[in-house]
Amino acid sequence: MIEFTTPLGTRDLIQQECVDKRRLEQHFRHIFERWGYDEVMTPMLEYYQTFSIANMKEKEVYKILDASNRIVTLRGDMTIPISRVVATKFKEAPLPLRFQYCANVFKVKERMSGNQNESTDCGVELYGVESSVGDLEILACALDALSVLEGYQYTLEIGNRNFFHTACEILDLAKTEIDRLSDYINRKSLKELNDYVDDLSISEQHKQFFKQLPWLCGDLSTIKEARDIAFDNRLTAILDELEQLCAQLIALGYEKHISIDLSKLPRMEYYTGIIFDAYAEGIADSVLSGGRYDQLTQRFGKSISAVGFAIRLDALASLLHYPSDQKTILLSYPSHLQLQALRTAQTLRETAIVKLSVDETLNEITQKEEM
Amino acid sequence: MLAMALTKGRLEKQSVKLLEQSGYGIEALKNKGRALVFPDSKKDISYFLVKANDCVTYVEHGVADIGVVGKDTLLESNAQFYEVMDLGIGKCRFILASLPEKNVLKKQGHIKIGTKYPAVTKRYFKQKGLDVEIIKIDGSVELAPILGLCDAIVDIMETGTTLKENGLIVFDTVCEISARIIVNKASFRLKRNEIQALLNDLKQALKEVEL
Repeated sequence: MIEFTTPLGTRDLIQQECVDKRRLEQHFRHIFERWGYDEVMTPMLEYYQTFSIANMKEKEVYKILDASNRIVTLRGDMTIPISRVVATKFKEAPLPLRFQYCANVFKVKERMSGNQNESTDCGVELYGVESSVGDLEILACALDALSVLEGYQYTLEIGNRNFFHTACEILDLAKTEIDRLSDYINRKSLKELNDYVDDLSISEQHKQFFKQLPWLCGDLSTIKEARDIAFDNRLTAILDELEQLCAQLIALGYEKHISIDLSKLPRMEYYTGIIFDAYAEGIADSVLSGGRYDQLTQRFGKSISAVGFAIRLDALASLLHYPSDQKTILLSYPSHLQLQALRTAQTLRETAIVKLSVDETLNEITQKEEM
Repeated sequence: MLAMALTKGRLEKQSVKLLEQSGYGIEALKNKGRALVFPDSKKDISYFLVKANDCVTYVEHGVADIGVVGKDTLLESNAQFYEVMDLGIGKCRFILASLPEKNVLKKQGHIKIGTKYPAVTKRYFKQKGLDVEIIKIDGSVELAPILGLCDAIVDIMETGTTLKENGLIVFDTVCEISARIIVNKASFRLKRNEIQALLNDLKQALKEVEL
């Protein structure tokens, strides 16, 4: 028997599901447009090299051979292709550049995990604005977009990948040690973290830094707590910047929806500064994530500072519903009155959705408003 | 309101006892009847009992905010969750065992390992720098080396009685296992205070048991 199912981790969307998703997409597109972002569309297929140079995990990438036996991939995110576009097609363009997109991206996930391999990202990328001003702009834009969640509990959690990585650099830890630590911190695997840190040849004060780090998340007072373990002024400087950023966001009225996570580590290797994720009540994973990636475009040939974020449209669409507010009329007619029915429908369509239906038991055309 | 998934079976009794020692209202969990969800009589928590693998799945998808599950299950899983606390109950270990004359760590040539836990086995031999073939077995793993299906097994050992009865000996400890508290990533943010309070209560109860 032939089975007609969709490939693993993909799904069909129907009717109201499409309505909800499109509505949300339009909502974000409109907000980003108001922030001055121009749309960009890139091919769904890219050469594997484009993603491997950005260190996307090999096993997460869909790979296909093209006609000349080069490996092409289904794009795994949009930040990498847009950075390629900026570095290769806007070499001499005046900065800043602002791009927005809404596109399907592909990642190979574990079998039967209930996760989607194809998902839609809506996002923005801001090129050529340094962190001192660009970070605030991008966070404010993210919070503006998140206001769609009004009525739900949600929080935008801000961290900086350098808090952990600078500490590792200062302590001159080896790459394998950094990888182990970040894996444990990322999974908040605290027993393993404590055991591993105890075996590292670093001072007790520095051990405390790594042991405390996973708990440095929560409201804005977290930054003050973090000062107790920040053992170097390069770490304190990161906290100062973060504190200032939060003060500015509070001044803009976002206090209720921001929080801090200093143990946050990037999902992608290319991030270089602040990183952030938004979480919403009723959704199991983050609904928005982003960060600064000042060294990515350089790998494509031109160095430009950059920051951006993507919203996971599918996750939000499962939570937010937009019942149709349009009037729908069911127009029934016997087949010999079809022409007349079509003419009536034409007029009705100016103000309502009209669904046609043939009913031979009728002698005339009838209209019924559908709920 | 917290939803908490508890692992059925071996860990169930011990985790319920620990909750009771923490002063939680777990009467419903003790007299289960036919219910599937058990509300706490004192705190704003509802419990449900599931198989270990499902406990991880429920927490990953946020249906449960928090779960109690053995490290053995977590090591085999690829799921996303935070593993915030070692409860120190349900202790046992993963071991490498075989017939006394078959020490695979010193064997030359192709090695076959039978196990219910392929991920743990793969990671262990990778760390040892050994290239082995893994054969997934679902039950009575001890039988496999005796019948010659594989050279050795990686399995959970509690008391060691089963191994001894089958004439197998332990060649190495792969890792120690105990029950862990896992937390959904979004719940960790949005229900932080409730979760923190629960963790503190459990920590306190564990301390009192030690004394």
